[in-house]
Amino acid sequence: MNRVGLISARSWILLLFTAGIVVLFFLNMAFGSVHIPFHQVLRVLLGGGQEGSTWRIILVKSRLPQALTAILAGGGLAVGGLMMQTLFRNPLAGPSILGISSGASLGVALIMMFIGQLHLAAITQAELFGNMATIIMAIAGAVATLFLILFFARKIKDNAMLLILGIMISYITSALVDILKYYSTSEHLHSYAMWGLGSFSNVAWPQLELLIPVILMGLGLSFLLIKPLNLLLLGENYAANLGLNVQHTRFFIIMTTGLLTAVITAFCGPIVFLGLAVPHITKMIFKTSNHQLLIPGVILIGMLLALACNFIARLPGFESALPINVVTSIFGAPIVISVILKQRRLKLNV
Amino acid sequence: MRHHLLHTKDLTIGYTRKGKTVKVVHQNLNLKLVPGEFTCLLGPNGSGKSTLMRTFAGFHPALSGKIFLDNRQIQHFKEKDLSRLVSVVLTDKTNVGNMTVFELISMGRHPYTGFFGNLTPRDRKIIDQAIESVGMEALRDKLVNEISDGERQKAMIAKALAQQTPIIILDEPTAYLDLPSRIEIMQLLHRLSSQMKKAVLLSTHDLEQALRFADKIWLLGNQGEVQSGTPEDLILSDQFKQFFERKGIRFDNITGTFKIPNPQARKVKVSGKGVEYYWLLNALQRNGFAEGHESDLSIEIVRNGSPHYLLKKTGGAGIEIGSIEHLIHQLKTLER
Repeated sequence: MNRVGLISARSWILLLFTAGIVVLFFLNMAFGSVHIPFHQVLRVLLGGGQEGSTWRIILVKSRLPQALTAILAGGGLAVGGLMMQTLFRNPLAGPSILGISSGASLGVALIMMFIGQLHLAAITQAELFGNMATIIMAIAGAVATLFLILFFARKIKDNAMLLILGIMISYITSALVDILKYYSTSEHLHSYAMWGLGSFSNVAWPQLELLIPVILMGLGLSFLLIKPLNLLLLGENYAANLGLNVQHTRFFIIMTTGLLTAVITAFCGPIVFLGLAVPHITKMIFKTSNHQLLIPGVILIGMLLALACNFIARLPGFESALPINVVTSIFGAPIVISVILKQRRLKLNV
Repeated sequence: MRHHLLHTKDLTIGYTRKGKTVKVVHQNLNLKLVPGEFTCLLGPNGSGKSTLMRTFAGFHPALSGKIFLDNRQIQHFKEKDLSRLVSVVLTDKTNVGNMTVFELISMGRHPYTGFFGNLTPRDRKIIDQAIESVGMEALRDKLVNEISDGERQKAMIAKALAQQTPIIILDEPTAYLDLPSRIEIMQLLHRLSSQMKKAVLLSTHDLEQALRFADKIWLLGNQGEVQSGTPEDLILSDQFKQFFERKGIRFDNITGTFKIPNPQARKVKVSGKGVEYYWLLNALQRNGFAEGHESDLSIEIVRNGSPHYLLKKTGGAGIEIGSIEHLIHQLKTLER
């Protein structure tokens, strides 16, 4: 097959993944602790169904926002991971590599601490998830870290050094979290641990009103970065010689990834694995380093995998008990391992 | 006076850190690149070849002095304009293994493409012409992972051609290549510079190929000394000799190669000519012998029929030998 044929074949794969997303979306709608027949799902989604019926309430209040959150988070984390891997030329980079999600964690840990200190009975009973105070503090922590990284990025020209700085920030924030944990009650610790396991199920419609535009903006920005990302594959010197302003590009890449990671972590907790693994799975499927294919590819595969994980986590029998981070790692990692073993000859290309 | 694509005026290059000069590598450089000329930059490690090239490409600022591109100072160019004037081929590590050769070369069009980097039919035509110029038509749709190092460098040169810049700067592009690939690339660059009227500047350690293909040579020394000129003039004026000779290494002006003189060498009288003569001297030198007229040992090259060698020691009978290997063995036996 010649290359042109291959490229159109890859476009078909993109369509296939889109179809997969639609199918998984309906599976997510239909299955759960209560089974809802497909024709009913379709009816409710098209605006029909009896007002106030149980099925309608379950779908509109719970399953629909949850599936949307999974789609947005999956796409956002995956594209963030791809951009970090390309920018830092490092296959181990992910959206949280610069310490942005640990910044969010620190914000949430502070909330946990305040609950303990101030004896705010009302919040003590509440879960950390979905709580407006939690979200605000998580975003504050993530954005503070993001600004710190962007400040360093202006000073430090070398990308490897910047990466190390990001990892150092992660260590510091984790240590601060540990201190806070040490002074917390076991009840709060449990609540914090639950937050750390991630979930798509605590985002209601009012929060989606913030999540949807921010993530769509992040995804849109990533499409604007296709050409710069391709140039960065050649290394910074070649990229600069081809007219790229490397400093500005780096700023926008970190900014976009940081924005996506910050809001997703704030609403869903620190979701691991997807952001690191999806870019690799995508590169293995498409066998290209061209971001014109990789960007839409990672977004679609990220959405698909997040929906699949959410579906597994909510299968009857698990009774919503499986946290999302457990599912992504336990079911996702073997997929990556098997793909690698199948394609042993494939070179790891960041 | 001919049009200069690039010239420098009292240029000083080196490194800075936090705006302060840390090391000056070269001072008062007055160099020029002319369209249609292939210039080779020679010099030992640490002589600042890369620094000079990176300064020309705009990666480093000059410490002082001026660089003119097309009679305009380099710092007055925007990134985009500079990218249409100077292209580079570097030794930097790239991550383009999963790209096709065509995709890699198409990168050269990015100074001209729009926001999303989509290629117009004209861009594609220029890329295909660049591929043709380096003779890579058959590899057009291969992945970069699947081609050899020499082919990858040719693809990088094609990328520079697709960039359509009057100046091409190449930092040791033949460093990791085998000899045939090195010659091929040097030949290619010489042809491209004269046919397309480009100014090509290449740094290399490969003296032999530089002497053979370069229109101009710049010699960059460790102590900041710089010589430039056509290779032949540099040899005839002994500048090459002064530049490269050091204790135990002699530069031979006639062959343009290095010799290792051995004052303790046992002298042998050699008579004969032709290709056998040349290689016989090579074997003698390696084995600690040297040609000399005053000697009790003599070798005569007999060229009727298949060539053979007549080895004589004064007072002894001559021995006829068919190969240089046996000849050297006999010589060593006689000397023991």
